[in-house]
Amino acid sequence: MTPPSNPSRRTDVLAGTLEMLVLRTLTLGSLHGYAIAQHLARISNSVLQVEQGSLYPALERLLRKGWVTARWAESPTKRQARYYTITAAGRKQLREKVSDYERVALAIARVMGRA
Amino acid sequence: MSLLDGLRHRLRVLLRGGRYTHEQQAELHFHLATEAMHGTHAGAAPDDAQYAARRRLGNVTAVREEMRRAAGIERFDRLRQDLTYAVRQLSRSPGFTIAVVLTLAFGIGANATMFAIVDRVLLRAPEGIADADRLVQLRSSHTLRSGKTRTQVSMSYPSYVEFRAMTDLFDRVTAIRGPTLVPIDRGADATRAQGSLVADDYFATLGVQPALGRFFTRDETHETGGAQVVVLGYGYWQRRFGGSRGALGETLIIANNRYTVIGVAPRGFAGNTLVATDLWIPIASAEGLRFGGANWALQRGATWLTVIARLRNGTTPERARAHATVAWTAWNVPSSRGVLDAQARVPALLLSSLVPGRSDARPEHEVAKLLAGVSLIVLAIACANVANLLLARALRRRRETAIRLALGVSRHRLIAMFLIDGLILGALGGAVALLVAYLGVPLVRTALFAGTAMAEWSLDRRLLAFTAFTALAAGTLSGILPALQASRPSLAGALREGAREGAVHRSRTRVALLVVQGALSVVLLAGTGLFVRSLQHIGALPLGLDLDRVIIAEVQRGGNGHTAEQTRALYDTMRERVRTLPGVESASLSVGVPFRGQYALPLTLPGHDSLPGMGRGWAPFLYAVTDDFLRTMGTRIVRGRGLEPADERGPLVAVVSTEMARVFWPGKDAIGQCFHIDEREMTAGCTQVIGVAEDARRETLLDPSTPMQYYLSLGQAPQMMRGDITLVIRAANPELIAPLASAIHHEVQSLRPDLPFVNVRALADVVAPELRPWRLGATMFGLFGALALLIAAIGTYSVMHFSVAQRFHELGVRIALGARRGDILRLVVGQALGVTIVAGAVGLAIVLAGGRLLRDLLFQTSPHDPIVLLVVAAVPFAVAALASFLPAWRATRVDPVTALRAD
Repeated sequence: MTPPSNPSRRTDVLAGTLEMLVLRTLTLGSLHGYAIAQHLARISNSVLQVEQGSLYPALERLLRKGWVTARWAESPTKRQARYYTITAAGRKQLREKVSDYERVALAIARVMGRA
Repeated sequence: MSLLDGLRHRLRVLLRGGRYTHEQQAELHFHLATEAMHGTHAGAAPDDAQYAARRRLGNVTAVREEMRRAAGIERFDRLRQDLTYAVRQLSRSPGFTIAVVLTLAFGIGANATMFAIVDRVLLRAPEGIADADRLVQLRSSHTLRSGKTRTQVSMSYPSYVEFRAMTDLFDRVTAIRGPTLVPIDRGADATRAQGSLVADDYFATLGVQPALGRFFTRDETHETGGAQVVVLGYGYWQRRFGGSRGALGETLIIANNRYTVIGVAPRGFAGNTLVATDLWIPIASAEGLRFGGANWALQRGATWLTVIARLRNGTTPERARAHATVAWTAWNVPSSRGVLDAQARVPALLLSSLVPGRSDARPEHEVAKLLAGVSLIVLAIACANVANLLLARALRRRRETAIRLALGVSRHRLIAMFLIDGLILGALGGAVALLVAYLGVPLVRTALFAGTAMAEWSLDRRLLAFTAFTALAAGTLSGILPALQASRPSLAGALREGAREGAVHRSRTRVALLVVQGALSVVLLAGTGLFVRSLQHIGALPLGLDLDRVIIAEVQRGGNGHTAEQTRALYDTMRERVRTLPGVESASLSVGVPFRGQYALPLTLPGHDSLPGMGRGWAPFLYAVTDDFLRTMGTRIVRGRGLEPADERGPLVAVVSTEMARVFWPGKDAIGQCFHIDEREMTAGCTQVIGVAEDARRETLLDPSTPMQYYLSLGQAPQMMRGDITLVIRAANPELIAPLASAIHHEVQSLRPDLPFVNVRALADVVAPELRPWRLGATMFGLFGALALLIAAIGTYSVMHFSVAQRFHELGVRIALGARRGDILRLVVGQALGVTIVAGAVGLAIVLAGGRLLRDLLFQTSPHDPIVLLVVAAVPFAVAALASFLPAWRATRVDPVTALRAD
């Protein structure tokens, strides 16, 4: 765990975006909550500050929508952990979100005169 | 599948409830522990690492709270609470709960029963047929000059052969005769079975594979072939051969021939109709069961076959019909013979589905559809009643409701609670309804579709789904009104004022519900009444015979090498044996069986070119009978004399019917007149009329036309009537019919070891199918009507009971002020009768408006029959008076002191 290099430039993550990030992470395979949090922090170089406390409610919402499923299994540390798996509907949702995101990102880039 | 995964998760949360919270907690624990572990590995002190982990996660309590909310546990908790509360409330008043559940169970059960019947019998093709949607039955229709259309369901063999050649339209075509009861074996072992005669490709057209052995080859079914081989139905194979493989190669005597068993049809396949077929034999092999004489395969005039075709892929029914009609009309130019043909203007071909509900317009089907509608009315009454009971209960609990509202429970939640009540009751009602259907379906099936192949009926998925849906709908319907009423803020406001002020509140909704119940009961009662009147009208028809006293015994010997004298001698012996049985009043022989089969031979009247009053090719019916036939049937001689034993060999004589006498010799005395029967030898001379008998029904009970008919002595029967003879027996009284029938069967059957099955039936049973729609309509309407009335009575009782309890205080005041017992009685009973007047008026209005729907199902009865309407309007009054009497009597017992002291 390396602390964020420059705390002043961290960006808060919006709720809908968090769900998209979690779904994207789960395309790697079944993971428990802690592993998801780790992965998000590592991948974004800790630029995206995922409030760990909001990760778990987000997972509950994904469960209710049927985009992920959960089961209890033994972790490599020999403890019982709750593993999440993305469903087919979750993948579909992710594809839609990504294409939405790309459209918006492109539009913003144009407005900012970068593309 | 997101919906399913999500639902499954929600259900899990709902069922695990509090334990799910533990799961969430365990997850957070794991997170913290793992993070702390990583911290210590990186070199931090255990305490520091744990602290850091907590800090990074944030406020654990807040996170847990948010997780709970996200999982929806709170909402589920509330739902579970409401459910538990409702169940506790319902189990606290078992009498109320049982009454409501039973009411709903009957309502839902009646619907489930009718659904099972209609679904199986009318909405689906017979079982076991592959891809039934591509199969069509070929029929013809003729538009008569009068504009009426007659549909003919049967075809001639040559027509079938021509359809078979239309390979561009049809993949396969087959023809079937039957199923009909055919005699099996001989002598004491003789039985009967449902047998069908089939042409080429029968099983292939229907797409069926044998369960054992094989089906017919082309050679075996070809019109010139006719191998004596038989395929057994699965059920018959089980019953007769115990399901043994050894059945293959066994022989059966069917009608006049021995047949070898070559195969068994698969389980669940009962043939192309709903009547379960026991065996199939090739048409050409079926000597004595075929129609059209020796050249049946060429006879265009004899239409006796059902033709079924499988449409070619890509051919629509419309195209097939258009193309086949052109060809078919060309072959079937209307001949000049026969009234029907002569009147036929536009012959056309129809392709109808094998699904009975889509093609046949048989009265049973109409009645079944009607009953399905009627069962909906019963359910509506049941729902209205339950809503009323729930409403009464809600008002009784008004203080509790007021407190809840005051404590800030939302109206939303109150409504949900009442709905939950309704739904629980609906679910319980639905469960009991399955039992009702389980018992009801076999009963209704026997009454409506006796002999249909529904033996293996079970609660299938469609019925379960239907019942669940109906229960849900009924529960919601029953719960919604009380929910809206009881949670109304204005009412709630009034309720806070305490019992006495609240007591004067009279629920208009409750009265409206009572009116709905009463009106619908009136509708059902009117239906019953109209069907009963139809039966009465049928019973009052002048039949010219005694239906309830006559038994007929048919013996099919089919010639087989006996001389006419030997045959006659055998039948005379049977007649003598039967005549000596105790309870037999008379026994006679007849060629031509009333309601079963008639002869008609061309006649010539001296001095006339053609017969008066008839189309070409038509002649009166004739019967060749022994002397006491008319007495046995209960047909009276109105002029002259009847046939006597001496007429068997004397000069040619005949007894004619009144109608024949009137038409042939108008204005003259028929006695002494004479006519020629063309088929008789030319030397035989003229047949002289010696008597006139009253007109009697012979073909159908309900045909409004009166057929002409005459009776010859059996000894003078024309050559072509010398064949099978029927015994006609008169019982001393109607009660003896059933025991006599079995005694007669035993007596005749054991007479000779080579006799095929002797079919002994009461004449009333022969015509019973004709009456079935009305009997059934009367019975089922009566049953449902009685049920509705009972429910309405319970409803009235409970409302009056409650109303008296509500007016406890007011009644006490009245009594204290000197009201007499009679006044109080009048007050309460009058209130109930007032409701009934409105209900009766509404019900009669519905009957008057909707009576048209019933008109086609009634017999000579107007849907506005005044007697029926009068009686029907009176019955609910009696019920209302009865139902309100007990509460009224209780009202007179109100002790003014107690009433005035109560809060």
